[in-house]
Amino acid sequence: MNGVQDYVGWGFVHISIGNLVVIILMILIFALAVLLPFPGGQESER
Amino acid sequence: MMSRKHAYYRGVRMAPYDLVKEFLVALGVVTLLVVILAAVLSSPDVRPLTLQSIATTDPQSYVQTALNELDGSSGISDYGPPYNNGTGAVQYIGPISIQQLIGVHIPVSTAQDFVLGPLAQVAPTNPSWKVALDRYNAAPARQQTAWTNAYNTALGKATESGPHLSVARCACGPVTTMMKAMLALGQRGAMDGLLLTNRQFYQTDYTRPLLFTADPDNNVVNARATSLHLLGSQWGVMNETGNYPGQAWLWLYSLFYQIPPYTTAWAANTDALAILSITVLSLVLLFLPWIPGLNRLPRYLGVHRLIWRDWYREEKQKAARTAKHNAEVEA
Amino acid sequence: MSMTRRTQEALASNLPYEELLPSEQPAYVHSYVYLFGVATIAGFIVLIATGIILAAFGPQWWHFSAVGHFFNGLHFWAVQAFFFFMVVHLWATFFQGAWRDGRGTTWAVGVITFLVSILTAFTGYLSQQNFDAQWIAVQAKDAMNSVGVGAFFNVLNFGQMYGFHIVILPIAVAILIAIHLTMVRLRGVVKPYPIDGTEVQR
Repeated sequence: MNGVQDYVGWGFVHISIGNLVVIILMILIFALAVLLPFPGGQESER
Repeated sequence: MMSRKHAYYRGVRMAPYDLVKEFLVALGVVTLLVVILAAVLSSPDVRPLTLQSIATTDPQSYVQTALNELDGSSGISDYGPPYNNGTGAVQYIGPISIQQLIGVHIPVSTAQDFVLGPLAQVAPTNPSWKVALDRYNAAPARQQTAWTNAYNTALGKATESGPHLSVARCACGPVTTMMKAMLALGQRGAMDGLLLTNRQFYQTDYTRPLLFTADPDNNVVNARATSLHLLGSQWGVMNETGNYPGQAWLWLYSLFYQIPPYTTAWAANTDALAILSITVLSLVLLFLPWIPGLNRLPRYLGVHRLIWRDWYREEKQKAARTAKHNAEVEA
Repeated sequence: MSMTRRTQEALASNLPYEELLPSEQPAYVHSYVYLFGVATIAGFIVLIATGIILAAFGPQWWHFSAVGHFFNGLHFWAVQAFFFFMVVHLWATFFQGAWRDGRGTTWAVGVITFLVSILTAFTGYLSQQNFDAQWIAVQAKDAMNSVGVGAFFNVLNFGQMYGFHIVILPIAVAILIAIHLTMVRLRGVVKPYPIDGTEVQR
C-alpha cells in the first residue's frame, strides 16, 4: 500500500485508485441500499 | 398532551422497530469492518522531513534558503500577515484583503529567527562563528546587502556532490562563514532543535521549523510532495501518501485548484477565492430546505419512488380496497 | 412552581423516553437507506474509542509500536467509514427530501455536523506528526492565511491543532449529533412524498 501510487485521469481530473475505490463503493452501497428488498412483514390483506 | 410527532403520525400504520438492536448490529459491523481493514491494509506513515535530511540531500537548496531568509528575499520573508508586513502572499477577495485587515499576529522575522538567532545561540562555543556573526551585526545595512548579494552570485555557481557544497571564494565578508555554519548546523541535526526550542524548553509549536523547512524556495520538500501526488495542482488536497484513500469528501474544494479561472485569471488569489467558493456552496447546502426550486429537486429526481416503493404499493392496495368497498356499499 | 418542577414537566411532556427510544416506527421506514445514520454514529463511536487509546499513549506512540500502529490503522479506517456513511446518509436524506414538514433545522444541524466533522478530520491529519502532516500544514497555512483565519488558527502549531482535535472538536461533534438525533426523535421520520401529484409539503 505504500508503494508507487496508482492514478487514473481524464483531462484535468486525476484521482488516486484509493479515492476512486471509495467513491465507487459509496455509489454501489447506496444503490444496493435503495434497491435491495428490506426484510420484515408487509401489512397483509384484510 | 399529544406530541407533535403523534399528531404527525396519525393515520399512519406503525410497525415494530428495534432501534437498540439496529444500533448494536451497526456498531458490530462497522467495528469488524474497521478491524479487518486495519489488519489487512495497515495505515500510512511516511516519515517527516528534517532540516538535517534536507541539508544533507540538497545542501545548495538549503543554503540558498538560509541566505534568502537572511537577506529578506525568501518566500516567508516577504509573505505578509500573519507573519510580517510583506506582500508576497497577500490575497484579495475583490478589493478586500481580510488577511491584511487582520494583520500580523504570529511575528516572524526570518533573518533573526532563522539565521542570526540560532547562530548567536551556538556562537559562544564556536569562536570563528562568533567573530563572523559579530562582524555582520556591527556592519551597516548597505554593507550587509553587498555581502549577501556577492554570496548569492557565488552560490549560484556552486557545485555540490552529495552533502558537500563547494562555493568559490568571494568578497562576501562574514557571510561565507555564517552560511558554512548554517550548513554545518543543518547537517549535524542542530538546526531542527535550534529552531524549535530557542525560546523555551517545552515546545509544541512548530511554526518556525516548518516555515523554514517548507519555504517555497526549498526543492527537497516540493520534490517529495510532487512524487507523492500531494501538490494542489495534482488534486493533492484530497490525496494520501501511498495507495491509501485520502479525503474524498474534499473533492469539491480540490476541484477549484484545477480549473480556470482559479488557476489562471485568479491565480494570485486562488486560496482566498477557493475558500469563498466552498463557503458559498456550503451555505447553499445548509439552507437547501429554504431555497425555492432546489428544495423540490429530489421530488423531480424520483429516487424516493424506489426508496418508498413498498409503502406506495401498500397505499395503492389500501386505496383500491377502499374504492372497492365503497362501490359495494353503494351498490 | 419551582424551576426544577417546571423543567421536569417540560422534559416529561416533550422528551419522554418513549419518544426518545420508540419501539415502533411508521411502516414507511422500510429500506436499508435508513441504516446509514446509525452506521455513521457507529463510526463515530469507533473513532472516539480508538482516539482515546491513541491519546492515552501519546502522539509519538503509534510511530514506534506495532500495537500503536494497529490502533492508528483502526482510527484511520474509522475516519473513512465515518465519512463514507455520513455522505451516503446525506444522499439518502436528500433524495427523501427529509427537510420537509418542519424538519429544515434537522437538515441544517446535519450539514453543520458534516462541516465540523471535516474540520475535526483536518486537525487530525495535522496531528499525525509524519510527512503528510508536515505537508498539509505548510500548504493549508496559505489557505488559512489568505482569509485571515491563519492568524488565530495556526496549522503549524501542533499543540493547538492537537488540542482542537482531541478535545474541542470531538465534543462539538458529539453535541451536534445529540441535537440532530433528538430532533429526529421529536419530529418523527418524514413521510414519503405524496404520489398523487399534489404539492410538496414544506
